[in-house]
Amino acid sequence: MIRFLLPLALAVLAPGHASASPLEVQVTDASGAPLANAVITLPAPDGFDPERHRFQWPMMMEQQRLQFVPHVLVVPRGAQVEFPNRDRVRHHVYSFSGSNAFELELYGREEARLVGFGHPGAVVLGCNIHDAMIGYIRVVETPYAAMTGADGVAAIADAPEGPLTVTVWHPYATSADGTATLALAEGDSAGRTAQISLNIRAPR
Amino acid sequence: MITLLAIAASLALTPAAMPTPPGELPVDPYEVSNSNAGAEPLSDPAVFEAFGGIEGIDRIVDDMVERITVDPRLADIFRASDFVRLRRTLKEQFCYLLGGPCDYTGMPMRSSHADHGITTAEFNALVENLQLAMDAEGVPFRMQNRLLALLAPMQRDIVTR
Amino acid sequence: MRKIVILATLAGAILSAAASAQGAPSRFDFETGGKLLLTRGITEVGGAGGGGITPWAVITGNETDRGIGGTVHYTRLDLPDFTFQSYGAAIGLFDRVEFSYARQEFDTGATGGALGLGNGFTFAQDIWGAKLRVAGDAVYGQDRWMPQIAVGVQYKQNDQGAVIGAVGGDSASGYDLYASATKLYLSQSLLVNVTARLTNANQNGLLGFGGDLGTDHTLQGEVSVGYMISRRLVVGAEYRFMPDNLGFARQDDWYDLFAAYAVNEHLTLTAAWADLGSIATFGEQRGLFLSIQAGF
Repeated sequence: MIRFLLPLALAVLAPGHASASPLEVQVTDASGAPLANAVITLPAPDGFDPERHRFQWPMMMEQQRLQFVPHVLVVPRGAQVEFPNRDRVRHHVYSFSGSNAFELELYGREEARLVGFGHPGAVVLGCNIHDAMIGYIRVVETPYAAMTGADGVAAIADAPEGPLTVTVWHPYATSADGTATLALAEGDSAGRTAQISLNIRAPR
Repeated sequence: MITLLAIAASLALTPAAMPTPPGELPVDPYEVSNSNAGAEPLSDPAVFEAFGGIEGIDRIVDDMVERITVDPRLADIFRASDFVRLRRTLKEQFCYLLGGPCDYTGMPMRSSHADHGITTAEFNALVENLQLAMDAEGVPFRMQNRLLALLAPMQRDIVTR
Repeated sequence: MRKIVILATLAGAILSAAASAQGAPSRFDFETGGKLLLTRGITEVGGAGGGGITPWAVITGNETDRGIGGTVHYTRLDLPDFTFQSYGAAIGLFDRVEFSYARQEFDTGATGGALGLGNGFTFAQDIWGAKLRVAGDAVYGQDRWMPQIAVGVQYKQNDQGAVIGAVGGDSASGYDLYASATKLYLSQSLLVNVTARLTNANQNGLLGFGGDLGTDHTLQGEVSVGYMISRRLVVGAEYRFMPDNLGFARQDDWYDLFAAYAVNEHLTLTAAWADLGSIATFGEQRGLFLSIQAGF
């Protein structure tokens, strides 16, 4: 009874927010080792407009020391992402990922170029000059998104109460769309960390 | 004090480290050697003379660097470069290869061009700019070719794409 | 029939070499342009990239190993008793493979009447060529003795089979196989090419292939030497040995003295003094050779 009353009280005390509580998800590979760079998302509330949403992290994919930094970036659909070159060599960034495909022709240091991502899904980034450079942008349509750190844990501070379907995406997941889902019954995750494991292939 | 110690420690750890000359950006340490110039120097003093000696070589390199920065085929490669260092090391290299009284302190061709993704077409565009700069200095064509004969094989180290 | 098999095999080898020549690009794209001035050569009378009368190991077009290039050419040689023309097109793929087509026309003019062929009688032939660069680099290998080497084939079809048969020619069609070695000696500003050709062509095929004195392919040598005066101008000489298979008319070797000028990266003009010796019993066939080549 208290479990139901408390969120209700919170909802009354915090008008404008659906009842919410922190959600932690621990992502591991099939052997149980923690998986970094996994993106967890929850379904968006009704009427959510991703085009107007801003995450707390910068919409920026740097090229630094011949790597994409961060390795994985989560952006809302419609985001304009900056691609600054921090190296002393030029880069030529491109993606062949479906409707988010783009190409930034050869460009030199400190030149930030903007790319818009108008479609949800995973965008694989490459550099035409440096074959070893691979990065990912996960375009989402929800405000509830987080990425796992080295410990494999991702946290969403304001996850809605009630039954939830957690979607986990990882660049190396073997499933067709790179995701796995975890259904949480109401209250399932309260005060503890939900566990999910993914089958992954070795990175290229 | 701590900063000074850190610098001293880092210098001690890097073999053959060269202090960064004024106006240049620091580079990762490497073994300094004339063998980094990529070819054996010419012994015919007539060629060094035809290039106008050190002063002539300086003008040729300055002119070439000016040209490549505005050449649309090359500008992007060099936009990120340390031009102070580029001019200095190119002057040293040409002077050394032409038998002049210079030492080359730059990196080997392979490592200085690694990750730049240079193509044969871009290498050739650079050669063209060098030819124009040598023309402007009045270096006779057959003398130009004495230098180009030493630079041409570096294509194998410089071109990576 | 055997000729067809040889051609098909070579074409297959060239195609598979073209496929592997690019390495493993992360994306499929190609560029145009990039060669240094004059290093694509001009177009020889048989349509291949080379000098004026002999193929070189260079691949036509301005492309590098990352691209595709091509050239078209027109060559005219006014001789005392004949007029010779060659025109055609060639494509270069990844500075590795070259395919070419040329049409040669040999107008006998008033001489045709004297030969009983009729005034203005013209021998013509189509030449399809393929060339594969197999080793070395003529420009960048300055520190090595190894020249750039290419092998090629030219299949020729003459349209005057009846006349060729009447003068003792064995066939109206034939093929040449050749290997060329080209090297730029930058320190000396010299360019040297040596070509070895297996051929039974009479006057390059204009008078057919094989004849009453022999039908077999024989090995013939061809040499070009050029001196670079500037980035745009090369002067030099060429010599091409010829077989002698027709009893009715001695065939002499060909040679020329040439000057090739690159107007820009697209256009090259060549003027030469060419001496083709005796052709169809008419001696001292020498005259001005003019060629224009345009390419990308």
